[in-house]
Amino acid sequence: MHDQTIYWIWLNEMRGITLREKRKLLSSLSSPQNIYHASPSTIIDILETKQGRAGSVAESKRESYGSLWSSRNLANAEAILANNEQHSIHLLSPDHQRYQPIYAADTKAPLVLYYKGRLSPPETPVIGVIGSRASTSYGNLVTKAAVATLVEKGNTVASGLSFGIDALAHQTTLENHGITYAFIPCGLHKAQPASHTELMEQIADTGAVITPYAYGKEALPFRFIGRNDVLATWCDTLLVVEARKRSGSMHTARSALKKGKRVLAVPNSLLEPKSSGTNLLLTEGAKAYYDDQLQFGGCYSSIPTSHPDEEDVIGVLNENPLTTSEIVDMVPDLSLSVMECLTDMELSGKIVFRSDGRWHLVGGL
Amino acid sequence: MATVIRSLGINGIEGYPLAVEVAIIAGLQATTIVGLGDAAVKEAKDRMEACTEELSFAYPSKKVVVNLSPSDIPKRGAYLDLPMLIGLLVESKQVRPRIEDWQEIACVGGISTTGALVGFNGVLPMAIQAHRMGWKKLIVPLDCANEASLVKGLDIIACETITQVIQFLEGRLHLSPHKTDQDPILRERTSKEGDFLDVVGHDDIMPYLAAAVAGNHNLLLVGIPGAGKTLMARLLPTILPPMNEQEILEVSSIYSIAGELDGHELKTNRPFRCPHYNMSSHALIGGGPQAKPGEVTLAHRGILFLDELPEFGRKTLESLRLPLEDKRVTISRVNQTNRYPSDFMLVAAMNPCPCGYAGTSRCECTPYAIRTYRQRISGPILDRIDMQKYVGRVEFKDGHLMKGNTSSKDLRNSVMEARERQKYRFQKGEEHITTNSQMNSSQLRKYCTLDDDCASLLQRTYERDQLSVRARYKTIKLARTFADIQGSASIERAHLIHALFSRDLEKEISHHA
Repeated sequence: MHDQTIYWIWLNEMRGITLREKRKLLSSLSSPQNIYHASPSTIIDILETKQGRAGSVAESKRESYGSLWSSRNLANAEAILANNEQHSIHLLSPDHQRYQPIYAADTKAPLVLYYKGRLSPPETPVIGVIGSRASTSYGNLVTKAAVATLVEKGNTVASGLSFGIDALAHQTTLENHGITYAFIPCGLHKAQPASHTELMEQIADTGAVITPYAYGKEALPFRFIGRNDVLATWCDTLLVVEARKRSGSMHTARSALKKGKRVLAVPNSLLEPKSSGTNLLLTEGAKAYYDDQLQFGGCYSSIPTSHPDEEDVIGVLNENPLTTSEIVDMVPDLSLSVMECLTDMELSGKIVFRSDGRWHLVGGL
Repeated sequence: MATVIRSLGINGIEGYPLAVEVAIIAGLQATTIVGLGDAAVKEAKDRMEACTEELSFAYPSKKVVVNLSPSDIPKRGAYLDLPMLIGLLVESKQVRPRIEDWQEIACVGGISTTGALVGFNGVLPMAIQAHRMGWKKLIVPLDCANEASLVKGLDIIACETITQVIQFLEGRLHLSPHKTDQDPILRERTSKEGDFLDVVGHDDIMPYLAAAVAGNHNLLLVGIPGAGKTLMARLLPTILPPMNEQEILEVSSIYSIAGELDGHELKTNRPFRCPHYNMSSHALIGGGPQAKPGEVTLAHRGILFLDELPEFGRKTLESLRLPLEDKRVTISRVNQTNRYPSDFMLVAAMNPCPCGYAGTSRCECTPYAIRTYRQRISGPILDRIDMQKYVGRVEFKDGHLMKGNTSSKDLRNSVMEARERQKYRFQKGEEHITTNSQMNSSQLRKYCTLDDDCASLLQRTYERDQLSVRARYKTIKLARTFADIQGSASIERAHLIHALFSRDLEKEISHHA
């Protein structure tokens, strides 16, 4: 069959008709190439079959479809296609076997998705792990533990490449040698946020970075919403770790609920404003995420230690972040000097000195 | 033949010798003052006319030409009124100086139409210059006599009125040299501004404060509101080492020119400047139509404290780049170009995020907001700050107000010892520097050798935190200072570790990305 790629891009990018109308044209004319070569009158007939009403509205639409069709051209699509080829961006269209089931299951799924990297086979479940950009240590801890478990069970972890929970979900997956998808709200010419460029490249090495937006499209507010919908469509299950009531994560979660996906929310204290959204989701049809392993020291029992002192220091830091002198008070019988010990641990990425003037376990409380 | 009166002018922060030449020549009655004087200098003509009348002398009815030599340096201010008037009266033979070597007596001062002398800013650098040239006597208005007489070996003749000056020159009035009651090498006044004993719960950070002062390293304190950043910064003067005589005169000259020498006393305490963040870059660096010294120059040999650093305008902060590196600023204006010294220690304080509470549960800032806030301190500025320390929240174990464990006296002692060691080392090596922060890269190689163990530790950190070459050098200099505080001849691993723990902010930024 003739390559339809350029026509898919053209149809997807075309303005002036809605996604619903594009889908209608597709079901009648079966391929975008046919749509491109159809005469304006054919198009108008298909789009207006059910509009029995005569009158000014239908008349004006008739005219606008006409002018739309007479001015159609492939220049824009050709430019996008050229960029895709140059930057090894792949295209997912409804005739692609990987995208077909997703496209068919959701009437609002976009015609075309772009991706970099490689997609895992369709039978691998995709679990979305999303949450606040301003994550708390509680959220970080749950994310790390949950993602580690998900990867171990062979799931693909999807998220939005944002700061906080999203980035942590991607990073933890990569650390555990799992496969992760990043859904971004702009074209694949850059990372959003830009400081995650390196992370985006790492993700594309083993997994994929997916977006409904063509090369060169910037991250405008409405595109975040479009991205959220695609993420919700693509996931089999969505785990929301931390979200405020009004947030992008809540939008994704509600979108997934509407599509009938399984949504898990991480419960937290009702007094915690940073979890107000996730707690609210539990009343809207989401299920509570539960993991009793976390009660027993979380994932920190497994940090490899190179020195007995480190074990002691991790032991006290697991309870609370501490200042240097507090560590000295609580672990009095260090064999090395405390500074030596902290330097080693800092260099190996186990602890970090934060702006409250205290040492924190990385990703921990 | 014209009459020449010795006088002095000011260029930048230095005085220079100046001759006031008065000639009375044939022509219509007119007075011309040449030699690039500003409006205040030109207006002297009317003051002189009024004063001659007031003192019952006659103003010459011929053409009067006053030349201020060297005539190609712009002069401003009214301090040349007195020499011009004396020159005029001598030239018109109404005053006949009789005392010995009267031509070698210099004079400066403003005049008022009542016949009184008026003081002015900047007499100290003039007196220093007069002394440097071996001049013996300087007549100044009584107002600024205290300030001028801070210079030893120069007789300051203090006069209240023009008549006194005339009588003195004619030998009719004996005036003994003015004596100030202040001894220039008087020990620093003990500061009553508190003690580090007032700082509670920050024992971790004390060694870093001492090191910053000891090596003259720039310091940035980052912490939540109320943690004690400002308190600590304001206490730093209590642990600064005293200035030597040369430094005292240097700093006092700057303050004399800026008109900020309180009570015309020498600045014996190191300056501590804390400008508000609303300031312009001109106020910080220096400028204005007359290219006046800015805060960086007023903080010369002392501390420039910028509280709430991110609130300063971007342009203001960026203008610090050159003075921080070069230790001097060059201000160019239409009227003149001045070069001012600016060898100061920068101390700054900031919150970790816009709401101020990052790192605690109270913080509501998004990571993006925190990044934007921190980006207000640009990389080049952050790179030039040797130490960035997080100041944590203090947890009181009980409700009682406690006392700190470290006193200013202890800290100051360790600072002084470390300074002595640096001075000794650099004097022995015949270097023209006194503190570790001033070392250039060849001096760094000469005085700061790292053993293999330290070198590999530095390399690991360097790679992980992506430190710049400058940051790497600064780390080594800091390690040298920590070694000096401990009295160690070589840089040990422990000293390097301390130095590596001095870049908290930069570390967190590089980790976050």
